[in-house]
Amino acid sequence: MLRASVSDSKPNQRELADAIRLAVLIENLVDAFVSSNLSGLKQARKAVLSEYGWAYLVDICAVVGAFEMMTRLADATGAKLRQEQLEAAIPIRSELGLDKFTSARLW
Amino acid sequence: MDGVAQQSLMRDDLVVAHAEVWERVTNSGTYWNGAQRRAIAIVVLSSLGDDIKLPPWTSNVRSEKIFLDAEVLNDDTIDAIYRISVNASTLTEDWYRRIIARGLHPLAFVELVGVVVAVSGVHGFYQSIGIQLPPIPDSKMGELCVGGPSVEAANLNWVLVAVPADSNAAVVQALSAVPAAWDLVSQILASHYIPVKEMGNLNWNRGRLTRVQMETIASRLSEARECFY
Repeated sequence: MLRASVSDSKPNQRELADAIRLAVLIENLVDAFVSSNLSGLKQARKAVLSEYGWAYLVDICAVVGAFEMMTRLADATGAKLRQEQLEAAIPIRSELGLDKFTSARLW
Repeated sequence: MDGVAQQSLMRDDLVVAHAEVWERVTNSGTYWNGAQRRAIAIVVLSSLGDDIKLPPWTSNVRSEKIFLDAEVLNDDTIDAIYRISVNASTLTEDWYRRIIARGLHPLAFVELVGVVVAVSGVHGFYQSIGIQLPPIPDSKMGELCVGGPSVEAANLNWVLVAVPADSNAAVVQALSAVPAAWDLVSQILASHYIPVKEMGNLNWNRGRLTRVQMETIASRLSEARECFY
């Protein structure tokens, strides 16, 4: 889904700067959430709240919820990328080790 | 700030969407009645809240995990719900074929997935933000909403999809055989992430997170969940 939705993305400088600024906080929050690290999650929320405020935390957690849904949707229905998408993703697949996932449906 | 105060600061569209999702989850669907759909939701929430999650090769039913209010579902269904909720990235086509061979109608499976993932999405929001999940209402009596599109096998999914197969991205067509299931998911996508019709607009946002920031969250979570797609 991610690749499908951003395959033509050309982020501008403001978006890149914002993404980089928030990336560590997001990483901490998502990792704590996925690993059920409740104290880490509490700290991660606090960090987002203090730097960005409640409305940002709501928006971030909303996207977390959306992808809790979409990852399960993709994996429960056997969603596959098209061949051209798989080929376009070869560099990132290799770099991140994605082909080792059980969910890697490579045709 | 307590949970009630925080909830009062929530975006209205999220509050409305979650109430509607709970309403739809507890009403009769196409293949599952309201009591069964509510039970599916209860099993999802119990599974996600399970302190000691079972590995994917273990049956939660054989492990004698008890799910309250799930007596309207059979053991195979409860096992499937648990596996999708807790170990989705380990699912295989063989697993899906076994579920169907054991008697679950292929389109009932599609609807089941719709309920499981919708509940997982709402749960994910409340769990990550640290507010108590609104209680699931009682189920409603009602007739099954029979009917639906013609379906066929797809190359991009192992589930049956509406014809013509493979004309949309795999996640978009995944629930197309049961349109109400995709409507439910679309509603959550619109309030949590991006309306489906805006997916191609890379500048779409709500005025806070940019699209790039949203995709940062999405990619990090997808990677942590080992979702290749």
